[in-house]
Amino acid sequence: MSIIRSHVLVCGGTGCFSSGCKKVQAELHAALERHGLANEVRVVESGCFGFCKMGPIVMVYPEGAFYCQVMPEDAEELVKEHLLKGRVVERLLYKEPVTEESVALFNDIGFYKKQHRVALRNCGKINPESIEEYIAHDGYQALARAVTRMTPEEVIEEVKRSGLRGRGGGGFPVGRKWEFARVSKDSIKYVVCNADEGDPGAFMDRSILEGDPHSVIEAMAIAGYAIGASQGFVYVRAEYPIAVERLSIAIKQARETGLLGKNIFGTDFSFDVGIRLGAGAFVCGEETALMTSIEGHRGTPRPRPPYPAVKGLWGKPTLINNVETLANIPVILLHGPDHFASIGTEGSKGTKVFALAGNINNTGLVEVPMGTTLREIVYDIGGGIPGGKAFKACQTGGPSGGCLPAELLDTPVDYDSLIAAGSMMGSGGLIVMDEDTCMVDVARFFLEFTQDESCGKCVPCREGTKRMLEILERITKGQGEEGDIQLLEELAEVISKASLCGLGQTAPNPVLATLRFFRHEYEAHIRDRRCPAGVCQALLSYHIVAEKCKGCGLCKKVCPVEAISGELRQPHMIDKDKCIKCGACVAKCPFKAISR
Amino acid sequence: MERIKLTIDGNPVEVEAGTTILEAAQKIGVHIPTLCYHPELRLEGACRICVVEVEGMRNLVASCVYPVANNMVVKTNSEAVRRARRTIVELLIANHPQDCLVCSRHGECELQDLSRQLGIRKVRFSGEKRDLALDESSYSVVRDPNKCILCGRCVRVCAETQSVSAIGMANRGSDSIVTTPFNLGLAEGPCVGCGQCINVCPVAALREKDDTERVWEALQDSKTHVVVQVAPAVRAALGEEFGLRAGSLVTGKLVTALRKLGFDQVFDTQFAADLTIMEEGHEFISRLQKRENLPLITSCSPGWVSYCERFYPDMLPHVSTCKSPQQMFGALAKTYYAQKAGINPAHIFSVSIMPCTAKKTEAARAEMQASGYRDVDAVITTRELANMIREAGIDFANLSEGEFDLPMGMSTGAGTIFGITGGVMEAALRTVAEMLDGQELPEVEFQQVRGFAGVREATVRIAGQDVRVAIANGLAQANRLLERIKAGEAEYHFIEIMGCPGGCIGGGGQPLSKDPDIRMKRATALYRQDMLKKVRKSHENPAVQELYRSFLGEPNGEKAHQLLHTHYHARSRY
Amino acid sequence: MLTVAELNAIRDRVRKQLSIREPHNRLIIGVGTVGIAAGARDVMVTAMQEVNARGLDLVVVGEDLAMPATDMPVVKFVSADGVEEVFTRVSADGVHEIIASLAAKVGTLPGV
Repeated sequence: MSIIRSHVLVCGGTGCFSSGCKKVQAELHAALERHGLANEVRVVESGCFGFCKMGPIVMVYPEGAFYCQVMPEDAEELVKEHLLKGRVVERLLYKEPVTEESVALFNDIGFYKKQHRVALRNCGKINPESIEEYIAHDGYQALARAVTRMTPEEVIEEVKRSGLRGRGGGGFPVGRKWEFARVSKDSIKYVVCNADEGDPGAFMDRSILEGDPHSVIEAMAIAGYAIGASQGFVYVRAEYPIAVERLSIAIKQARETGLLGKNIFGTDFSFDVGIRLGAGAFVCGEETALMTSIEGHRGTPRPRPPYPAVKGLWGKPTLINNVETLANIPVILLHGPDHFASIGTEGSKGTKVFALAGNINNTGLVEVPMGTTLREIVYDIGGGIPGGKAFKACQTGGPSGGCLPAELLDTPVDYDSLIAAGSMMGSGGLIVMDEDTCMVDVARFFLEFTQDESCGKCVPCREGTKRMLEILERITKGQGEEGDIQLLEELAEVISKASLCGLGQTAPNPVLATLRFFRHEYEAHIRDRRCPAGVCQALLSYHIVAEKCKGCGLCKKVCPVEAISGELRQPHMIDKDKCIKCGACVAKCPFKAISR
Repeated sequence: MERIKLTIDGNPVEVEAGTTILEAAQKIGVHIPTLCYHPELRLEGACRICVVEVEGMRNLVASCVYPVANNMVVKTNSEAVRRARRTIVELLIANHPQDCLVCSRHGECELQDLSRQLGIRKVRFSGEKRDLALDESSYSVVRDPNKCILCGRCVRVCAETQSVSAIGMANRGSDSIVTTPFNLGLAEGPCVGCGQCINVCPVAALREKDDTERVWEALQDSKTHVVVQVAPAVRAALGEEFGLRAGSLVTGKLVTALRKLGFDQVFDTQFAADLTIMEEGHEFISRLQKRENLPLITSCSPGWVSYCERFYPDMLPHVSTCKSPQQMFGALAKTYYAQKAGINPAHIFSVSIMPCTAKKTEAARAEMQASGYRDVDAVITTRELANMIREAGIDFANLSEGEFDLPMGMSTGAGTIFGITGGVMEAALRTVAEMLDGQELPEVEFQQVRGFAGVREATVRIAGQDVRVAIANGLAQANRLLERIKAGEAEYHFIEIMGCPGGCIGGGGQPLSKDPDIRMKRATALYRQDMLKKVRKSHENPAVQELYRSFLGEPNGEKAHQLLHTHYHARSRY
Repeated sequence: MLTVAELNAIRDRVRKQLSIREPHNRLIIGVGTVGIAAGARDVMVTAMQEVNARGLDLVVVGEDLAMPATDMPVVKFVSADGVEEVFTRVSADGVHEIIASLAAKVGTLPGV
């Protein structure tokens, strides 16, 4: 008989998957066999730990040792030293970026210290392919309580009291949404989980589905009970194969266990969940487009009203919540709405998951109480900006959000503060930009995304974003004209006021937000034909500062087009007509004598 | 029904709950411009031209889809609305070829109208424009994707009214286009050529294949003998092109105009319609007596025939083998008429004027040359004829009344009503009833088959038996009817199907109109003409009787079969 | 169909298996090179069997304890509230006694 004394959790999230976690798992198994520990130590594939930059991540219990960037060849040492001889393998531990100090325990790492994991509570903690592990962490207790001891109205009341707001972007109060669907009279209703996560860089919904799929299924069943629906659908993008697989396994297990299907917990309540795959169109995250897509049509939005709660999927009342929103529901019912409401701020209760990306040391998923400041996220959790560069702005709210400058770093992240600051919560993308970022280029980048993802149905969004993008491209190419800023602003106003859906209505935000805080950069591009951050190729002009140049000749050697001339130990010169602005000389110059 | 009180531009309005802001505004004479909106199609709210400001709302709302609410305060012309509307029109123009002067829709373009109405004088946007190839694969419809403004009306009419879906939206964002399955061109897909898409297109992205040059050429050639036939529905609509009231019957002026254009003989498709009744009537009686391949379904509408070949090939044995009147006429023009007039059929150029674009494809069908020559050489629509009349400088409205040439210009009231949904059925019943009963009908009009409902049914007592008939107009309605039959929910002896809503009067080649009652007005004109005719039953047409006597022999006889009947093939949709 | 009682039963059963991930009380066996040479592996396996058999809320952990070689094998008990107790020169048989002495302190896992 085997008695297990240690669990080795290997992250199986998409991030670690691409950095090779499967191979690490295989090598761990092999090493355990070799050392005769296969009967004492169990290797478990877990969901995402959030610290994707450090993947593949391996966590060894009972000590809770947190190993980073574990390579297959590290398996032998890990097993022999730690699992056999009880010695923590120092060199694989996480090191704090500033202090260079190794940290053995997960909770002591700066990245995790200020986090408060509610939606991500089980991610990285349990085996997402085991319903039993979910149940062991109080899984399905909230559903049991709801269907056996509460009326649907009481469930909705608790959700309302928790103050939970939609985590997908709009921030609409979830309890009220449930109530609208509850009061719509129809014998058939639907619950839809929106897992069409589309903001560039955001992957919290994917992580939850990969790491804790049962929390979403449980929440959907609770929602079904609350509104009077017996069928749910998860609309998930096909580009999330691991999420789809884990979700499929979870649904199957829930059915086999009797937690989905007829007469759940012996009551009259029946509920089942199906998966619908999307092809990854950004606009299908918009709830009416999502429903149109589920119905088998081209995924384009339709006008509201009628709202989905009244006439949704196939004309039936439909409740749509996103993954992160749903993942909070069991916690609210389990620990009570007041406990949930004690986290966060007055208007924004609970926590929010952010996907940290861009010029920041610790990229990954972080979950913080609402009201945490941007500064805390960027510096305490995110570990600051790499390379000693200065912070310039951070973009929240995804492609429809805004860029906030350094002066606003103390803005607390909650729905209302972010809007007041000129950005929005969105689904929780958080992209940090350092001093070398051109804000016009950033606006161009996001607009390129939204105009590409516009469904093409309504004119303002289809034609308007295209023209805005063209104007921005002109500006970044040094062909901007007086009046362009005004034209951008006028277009932005019409697009945001007259577009059919949220995508169009928010598409101009990156331009408006950068204009608000970085207008001078636009003006520099247009009037002075200059890119202050030195990003826009067409506006760069390289020259050698004679006082700094020592005449070493390195730049001359590296120049691919022989644009640099000069005698040894004499200041060199760049021929502007020949220069292709590749930047090779700047990178090579030891004296920082080349400016652009 | 609950009443809703609101204010539009300061004026109080009271309407039923569920009314849209657009409808409520129309009620008090406030005109909100629209583009993607079409009263007969599903609401899209896509173009955003019709946006209005509703007090208390952050964004503008599309009035065509937004329902009214109590105490709502609507502004249809505020500064925000004006700015949005003008910008939207500018954006559309910026991605639209600015070749209005040489555009087929010049003067009849809704985008042009909007630009004029809003006083757009300058387009502030420039940049990439769509640059795609013209789709000229079809004999009936030409698609110009560069002119398309993506309002989606064509896509909706094709799917909803016709249940064909030969075109659909593809791609995303500014790459969006209306295109055919696999981008293969109309002719390679399920398109039936009905041209309903043209009628709803606000711009020139869809138009009929222009065949007027070929007609002009024939007319200019002194060695060619050009005969022309005119379908019934043309005379009830052509006047609209020249400023006459909708529903004006312009038969006489039409004949005069055709003579002025230089046609050598001006004949009437109605003559062939009477002939169709003789052939189809006998076919029906024969099938009824043998209880074979019932229900018999009419074959006059080439849009319907194409649809049947692609979507209901199993129903083809039910479709009458009779050619359509256009093709019967064509076959006789190059045989009977050529013989009678002593003209070498090789020198005859046979033109038909049709309310229909599908007729162009029909005339091009390989089997349509029983005489050894093409039955019909060129088909032009009512609109194309109007263009020719305009080009020739003919003052149509003031023309004198002409008469069709004989013998093939002689027709009965039964031939006239072919142009309206239910008309073929009524004409057939007039003849079949008398033939089977052997006595004169007390009442020639069969009111029970008239009307505009999509599917209608009636039971007619003929020679002691109940004959169950059904009529469908518009292919989606045909689809509905056929599905009921296939499901065993309905059983009929005789069915008339017209591809277009309202029948030929609503054809895809008819003058463009925004009049919601246009089909009704044109139908009334044709019914009036029927009433004025001395002879109202096809079998009593003396010219048709003479044709059988001197040339064809018996209805459904050998010669009739060779010239006047045809066959169908199941066709793949893609 | 699953009853609430059955759900709770699964929870309690699996929770026991997962106590490894959230240990309350730990029984640390010195398994460094010297410890293993002195028989620490046997002590560890015995300890695991004993803890399992009694269903105790106690997790057996291997660690390289820095202790004099003469004291090996070493077993250190650390309770949930941090109280430590060290046993030296423990034999496989001796570990039974140690665990028996700790049983009352640590209690059993729920569901056992």
